[in-house]
Amino acid sequence: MSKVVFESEFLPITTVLVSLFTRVFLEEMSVNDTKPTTKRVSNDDLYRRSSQYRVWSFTSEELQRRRQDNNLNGTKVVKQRVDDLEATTPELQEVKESGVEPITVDEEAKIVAYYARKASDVAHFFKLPTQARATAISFLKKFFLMHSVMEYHPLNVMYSCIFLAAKSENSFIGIKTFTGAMPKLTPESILENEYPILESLQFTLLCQHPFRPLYGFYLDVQAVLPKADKSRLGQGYDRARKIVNESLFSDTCFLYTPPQIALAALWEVDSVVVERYLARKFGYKKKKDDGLASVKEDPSEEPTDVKEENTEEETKLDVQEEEIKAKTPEQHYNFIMTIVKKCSQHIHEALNPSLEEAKIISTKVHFCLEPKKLAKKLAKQRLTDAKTPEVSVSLEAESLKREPDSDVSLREDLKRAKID
Amino acid sequence: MSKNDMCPVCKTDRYLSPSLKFLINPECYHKICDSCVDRIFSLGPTKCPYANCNKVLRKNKFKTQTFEDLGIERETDLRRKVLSVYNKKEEDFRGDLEGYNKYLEEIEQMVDNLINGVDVEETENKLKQYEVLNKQQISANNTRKDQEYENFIRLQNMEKQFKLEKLRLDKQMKQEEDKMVQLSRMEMIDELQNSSVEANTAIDNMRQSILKKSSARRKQRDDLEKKFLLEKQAMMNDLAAKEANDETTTIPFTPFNGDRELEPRFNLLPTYYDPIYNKLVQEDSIFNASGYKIEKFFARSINEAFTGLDCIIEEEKAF
Repeated sequence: MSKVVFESEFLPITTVLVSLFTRVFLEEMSVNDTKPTTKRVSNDDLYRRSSQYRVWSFTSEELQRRRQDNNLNGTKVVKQRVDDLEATTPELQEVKESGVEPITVDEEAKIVAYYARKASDVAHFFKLPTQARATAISFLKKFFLMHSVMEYHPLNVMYSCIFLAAKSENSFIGIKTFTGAMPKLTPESILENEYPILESLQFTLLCQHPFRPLYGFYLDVQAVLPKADKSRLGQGYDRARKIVNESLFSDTCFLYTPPQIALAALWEVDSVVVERYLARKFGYKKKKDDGLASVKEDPSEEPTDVKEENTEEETKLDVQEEEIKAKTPEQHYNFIMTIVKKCSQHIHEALNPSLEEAKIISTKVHFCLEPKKLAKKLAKQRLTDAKTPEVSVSLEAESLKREPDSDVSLREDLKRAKID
Repeated sequence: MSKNDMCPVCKTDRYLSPSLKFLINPECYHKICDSCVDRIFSLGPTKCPYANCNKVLRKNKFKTQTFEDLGIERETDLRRKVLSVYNKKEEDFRGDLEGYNKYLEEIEQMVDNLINGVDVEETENKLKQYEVLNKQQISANNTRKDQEYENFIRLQNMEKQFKLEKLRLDKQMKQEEDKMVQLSRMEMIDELQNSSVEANTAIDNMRQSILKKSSARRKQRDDLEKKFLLEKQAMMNDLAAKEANDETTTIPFTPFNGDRELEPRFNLLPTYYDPIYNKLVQEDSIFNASGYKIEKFFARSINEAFTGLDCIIEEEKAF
């Protein structure tokens, strides 16, 4: 399946859809063969039909592979740009010979994470609802899963993503209001990116976020554990919401389904309640004391658990759906818990690069996008070197001083957002 | 005498031979009288007798004109020709409306080309090619069309027969009624003349037998009506069954190729503890004005909590 989706870059989307549908159809046929009664469509089947599952869900290897491919592509583009330079000045010649330092995969991830957090701040500034904010971040992440930062600067894409997300989530901001509120933004700069973004998203604008499932679990816990302390649940919910917020900046939305992320966030806040809730929900009776204690206090046990579960799971890969139904309550419980634990680990992997780091990478991105700037900088550096030969200015410091205007505007945004 | 009533070949006109009939040939659509056709073409295909018309015509292709306007005559002929090959029906596209529309558009384009003489050769070739490629389907469609027509005729015949039978019975009943009236009149006269017991009993017997007969007739008619209705129903059912057999999918449509699960994975409480939302909805009449129910919101949230819970992307996407 993942292979098919990956090929969609080259295939017309209809072919992909057809192949997907035939697959679904065949699956149904096989199910129908074994069971003559009419097939029941579960909520999970519905999720499997969503674009979020079909197009935007990957295994972690697939995710990594995509990023590497993007990075390779981006490096090629930068190389092409450098080769296309006309060596009119000695500096340009020098740049042409030495080339521009490309961005690494890690740096890409960092800069995208940085701008994802930025997008969140800007969305707060515009008082966008949570749904729209999360969608904007999701758009940004998806866009840079299809392109490298060496092709598009994330700053511009970020603004366009927010604008687009506001539109698609039904809290429209006028383009003039939008650009007017931010310094150095023009309607053209926003709108020119809209089509590339839509294309990269493969026109799948609907995003399911973990916020509503989280609320759903908060409510369902009340039904399943009627004796639970309401204020404790409420506090847990509020804190879990913050964790879900944090999860937006991680890869969890590509690797897990929204309910799983929501459960992971809740579990992190209040593992006792979640475990009791899940056990009750699946009808799994475990010895209260040792069960809870072992999970809570023996974090060393977790990885072994995970492994066992994995090998067990892999053997019955094909008959997924049937298996879940056939699972005993205990297996079901363990299986959800494994996912929840893995997911919560992933949430913690959310990158939070500092402003300094981001600035350095951003400068590099600018040079990759416009190698001429590097030549100009070299020329200026030479001039200052000639005047004061004793003071050797480090490359990094220089770049910080002459950082592109866009980053200045970014800082202003931040200030505004904070004031707000 | 108008020009239309004179054969341009032999100059015979209606005045001299009132049985004059005109024939045309779809090759060139020139009007020729039937005696000329007999005379000129009985020895085999020959050129059209019209000046400047070099088309070779055959006798068996001559036919009587249906439309006064030869343009329309020609168009219907060409259309029939195209449609005899392009004979799919809308049902053959199985709901693919766009495909069907495209198909119709293609037909119209070809007919138009043939009528207006645009790329005639190319269109003819296309038609032939299509015929060769879809030979089986075309013949199948034709037989189906024939069968449909046959069924229609059968139904009509049945109806006709039923009506005739009914009419006959009605007539008989009417006659018997008339006889009854006559008998009663006779009885009256008899009684007035001489009240002989014998005559009376004879007439009574007669009347009895007639009454029996007429009631039998009425029963017969009712039976006939019932029988006809049954037969018609059976025939309709038969047709419907045939059609259903043609359509391999008899399963009713459901948007996700199956019904939703009967047992939900959660039980809804009548109310939940959420001080913020509950208070908001209770106090602000704007929320309730349009029939908003917070229970629906609760249900939706919980439903979403169980949408995709058991999907393991890491495994399901791993091939």
